[in-house]
Amino acid sequence: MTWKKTKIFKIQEIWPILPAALYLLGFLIIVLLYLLGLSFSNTARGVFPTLETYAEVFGMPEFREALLNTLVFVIIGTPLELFVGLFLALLLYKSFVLRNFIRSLVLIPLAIPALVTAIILFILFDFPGGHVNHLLLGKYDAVPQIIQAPVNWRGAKIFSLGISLLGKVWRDMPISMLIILSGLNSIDPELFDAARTMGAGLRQQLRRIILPLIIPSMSAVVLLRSIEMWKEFIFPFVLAGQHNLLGTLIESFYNNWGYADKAAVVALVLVGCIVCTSLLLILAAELNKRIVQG
Amino acid sequence: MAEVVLKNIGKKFDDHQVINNLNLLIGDGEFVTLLGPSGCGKTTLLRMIAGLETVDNGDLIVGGKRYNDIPPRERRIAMVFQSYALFPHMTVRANILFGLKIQKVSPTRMQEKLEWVIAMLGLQDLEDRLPKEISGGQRQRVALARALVLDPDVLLLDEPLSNLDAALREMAMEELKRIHRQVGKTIIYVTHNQVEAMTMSERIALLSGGELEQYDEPRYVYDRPETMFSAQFIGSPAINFIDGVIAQKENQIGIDSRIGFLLLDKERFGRAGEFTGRKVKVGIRPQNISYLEHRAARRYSDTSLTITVELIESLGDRSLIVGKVSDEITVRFLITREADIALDQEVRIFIDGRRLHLFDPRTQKNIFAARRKTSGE
Ligand SMILES: Nc1ncnc2c1ncn2[C@@H]1O[C@H](COP(=O)(O)OP(=O)(O)O)[C@@H](O)[C@H]1O
Ligand SMILES: [Mg+2]
Repeated sequence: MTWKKTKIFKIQEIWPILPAALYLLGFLIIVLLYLLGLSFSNTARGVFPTLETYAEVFGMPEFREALLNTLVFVIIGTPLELFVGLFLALLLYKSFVLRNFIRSLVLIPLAIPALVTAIILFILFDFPGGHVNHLLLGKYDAVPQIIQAPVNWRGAKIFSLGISLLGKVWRDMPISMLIILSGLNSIDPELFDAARTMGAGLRQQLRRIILPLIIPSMSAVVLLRSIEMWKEFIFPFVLAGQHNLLGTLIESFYNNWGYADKAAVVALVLVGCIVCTSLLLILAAELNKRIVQG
Repeated sequence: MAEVVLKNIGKKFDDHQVINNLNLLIGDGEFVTLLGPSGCGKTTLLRMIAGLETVDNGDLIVGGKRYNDIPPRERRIAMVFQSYALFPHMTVRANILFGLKIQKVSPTRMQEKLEWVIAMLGLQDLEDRLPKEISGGQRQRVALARALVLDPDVLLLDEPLSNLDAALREMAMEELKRIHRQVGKTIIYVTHNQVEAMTMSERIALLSGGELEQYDEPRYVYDRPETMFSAQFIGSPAINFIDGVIAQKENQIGIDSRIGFLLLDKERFGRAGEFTGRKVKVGIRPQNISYLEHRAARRYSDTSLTITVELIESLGDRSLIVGKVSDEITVRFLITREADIALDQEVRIFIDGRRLHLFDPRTQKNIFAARRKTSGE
């Protein structure tokens, strides 16, 4: 009977994806369900289900500050990663002479573990004796004195978060660059020749040919990088101890006895933010495609 | 006025001399084809004229002006690429108007131009389609429209028909000729297809390995090949080559060859006597060998020969026969379909003594066809 046949066929089809499915179940679904359960309970009083923890967390100033910090991180960091990636990709695409050299240079950040990068920045921006302070104080002959007293970089909110952001962008730029470069390389180079014979200069080629044709890669960069920005942990953890992002807030809640439910709430808020951003970006890309194609 | 003059043009990629001391003069409004096998440097030459490749040595002069160092955007030369290079994200309209937009032409003028070129190339109703939504033939026409709308002095076409099927290609050839008559532009057309070159061009520049082999009107390229390469490349099926020595025998002048004494026509080869004793390669086109026993008017200068049929290959309206003269030597010739010839049959053939092509085996140059028009001067 046909019915039986299709059923057998389907079971055979499931076999190869079973490991991946189990993996997903173990590391995603179960964790998520557990988080959901935890967030809807109040562990201190042993109540379930309840919205108390949500209300409590949303009312906490640390949470609000962390949410705002993370939002700023995402809003500044994502375009920054896009532009740095775009710039480097264009540089690499157009340069023929030192192409391989520049390529390996640009890939270096990927080869260094994020934690190491963060710690290097930590040392550089140390207070009161870090290299940056020494530099600005004029202790190295090459540079004149710019500041009178050492700055506590990692103590000030704007500097500590700013340094974290720069570290993050520096570390991730090869990924953005590679995605955009692959988009550039998929453009038929004769298009540029054609444009040149029709009078287009470099700027016009960039605006009318390159940018429209790498919109898909740029969308991919924005999507992937914004997710990365939301869940950033290492750089602010090392460099901005007193100023939390959502990622570091989870960790600090988790270390407080009896805060597990609150940590779960923050983690879920983070997941929610990522899902919402992704949906928004996908929607925007889809709309853009529709509008461009009429 | 857009005469294109190439004077001792050369181009090297790394150590590879792609174009070598090329001289070519293309008249204003002329339709010239660069013909040659794949890899002989046709595209490179075209790109040099367009300004997309630098000219390593020599002078490129267009309309009386030295173009070597003029950037492509100032050249008023339009090019249709082999891949067409249409912008995939732009509609047909946007593709056609690209150059005019860059030049900041007024919208009304742009609309006029668009309508003119769309009518000329029959692109009505396709304006809003993307390149991927139209057929190959339509793409070729859009690429042509995009070039023509700029009103260039010179139009460069790089194998524009190579991606089309046979029927479409024939139509496109006629259309191109019509457009050339209509706009009167200088057209430089690149192809490796001799039929396209023969049908369309006023002159053919035959290239091989970056050098000019012959530059002449199509019929002369066929009738008076200046080099062995030219004789070999033009004409189908391929020409027969036979080694021989110019000799006199019983008051007749001819060629002593391994297939016998081939008579030379006295009118055509009046000076042959001066070359007695000279080694030659004789080129005989399959079309100049006939086999009919009872042909009424044989000429005195026909050489008759007996061959054994080794292979019969149908070409549709005619058949190609490969006939064995001796163990090592075969000749190719054509018969009409009606003629009945069987394998292994012995047949008498006649070689037309007026249409032999004699080449110096060392220089590979035709001994008798004086260069009709020299190029470049
Ligand atoms: N950019 C390039 N770099 C190096 N070699 C090239 C380049 N472009 C073409 N060539 C070489 O030059 C020769 C001629 O190429 P091309 O002009 O494309 O020939 P055609 O168009 O007649 O087929 C080929 O051997 C090709 O490999
Ligand atoms: Mg080519």
